[in-house]
Amino acid sequence: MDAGLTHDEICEALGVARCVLDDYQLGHRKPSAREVQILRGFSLATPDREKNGAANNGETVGNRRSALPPLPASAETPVPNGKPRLGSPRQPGASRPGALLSLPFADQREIGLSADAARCALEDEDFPFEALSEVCEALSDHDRPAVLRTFRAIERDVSGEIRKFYQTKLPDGAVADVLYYFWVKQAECPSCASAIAFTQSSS
Amino acid sequence: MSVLRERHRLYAKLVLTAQGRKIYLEATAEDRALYESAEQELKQRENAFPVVPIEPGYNTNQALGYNYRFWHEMFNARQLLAISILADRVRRIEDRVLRELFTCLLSGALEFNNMFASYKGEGTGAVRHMFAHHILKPERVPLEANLWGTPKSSGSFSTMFESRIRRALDYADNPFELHVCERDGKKSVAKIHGLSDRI
Repeated sequence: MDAGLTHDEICEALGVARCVLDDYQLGHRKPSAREVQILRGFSLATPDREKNGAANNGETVGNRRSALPPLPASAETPVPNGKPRLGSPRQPGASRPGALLSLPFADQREIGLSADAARCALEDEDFPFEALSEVCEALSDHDRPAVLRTFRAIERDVSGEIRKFYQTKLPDGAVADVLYYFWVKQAECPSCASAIAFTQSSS
Repeated sequence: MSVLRERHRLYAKLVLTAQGRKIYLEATAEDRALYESAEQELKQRENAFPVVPIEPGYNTNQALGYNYRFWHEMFNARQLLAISILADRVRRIEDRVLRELFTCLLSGALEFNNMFASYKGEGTGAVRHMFAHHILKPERVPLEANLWGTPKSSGSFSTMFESRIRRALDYADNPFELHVCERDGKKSVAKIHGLSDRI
């Protein structure tokens, strides 16, 4: 939060109340993934830049090298008065340099796969961050044994803690896992205060 | 005008026995007590979930119209608790690439583990996820799935690890193309390996 913005401007960009921002700063609450992405845009530094301590040359995607050319300076995010602008629409016809990849689940939009281009994409209010993450993940090198080891570690650490809330006792006393719980929405009748289930048969 | 107060009532469950049989049973007082214990544990958990208002928009107006004001209201207490436990563990993964991989997996599991999901029936994936239709409409009869999952679960973290991550790793190790061919007079698809290098 050191990009020269006031707290109110940051709150406005994040869409949160001032007390929420205070909670973030005091460590009482963590920002969401979307807010982290926006905060990254404030610092005008990509995770790769932060990690490598050098300007990203547009060649890294995740931890894998690609043949993307560097992003020209002209395509950098406009920074009026030294402040990054969020939510401003991209200029019509603005070209996106470098190789492009279509995301079928991203409204047919195309995104450049360099970290800088991804940062430019933050300009879009409705940009699908999850889709970008998934594409970057798909193009990363994954160490299969490390992936499996990590899953086993997660399973060892938390599966029991979660599964205990999905267990039940059968009529014969045996304990079994619950696959699914079935719920029905119901409302309180304003006249008689009895609960009315929202099923077709009760209408 | 009075405000209609809504809540959910647990009425049944689908259980997997040790012998691998699925049984539909009525929900019991014990099941409801277990849910209440999850509610209590969630209350004690610090910073369990982000409190983010739903901003007006084309699709979000649909949920706002049903009086949903925050994203976390799309989940019940047990779902929020289980997601929080899992998310905290994923956050502790030190390697960035692995952390983001499992974050994507958890994000995918969220689609199946919320109170907008419903029951498709047994067969090809029992859970109809919240984006199965293009409207953010709450379900009158929602389905709460087991987030960690069992070998016979649909949309759970563990089964999606098998069906998405392991399959993706298999594909990266040995990529294939699809070839349409005829078998017994019917069109089918065959996998052709060796045309692409290992990813």
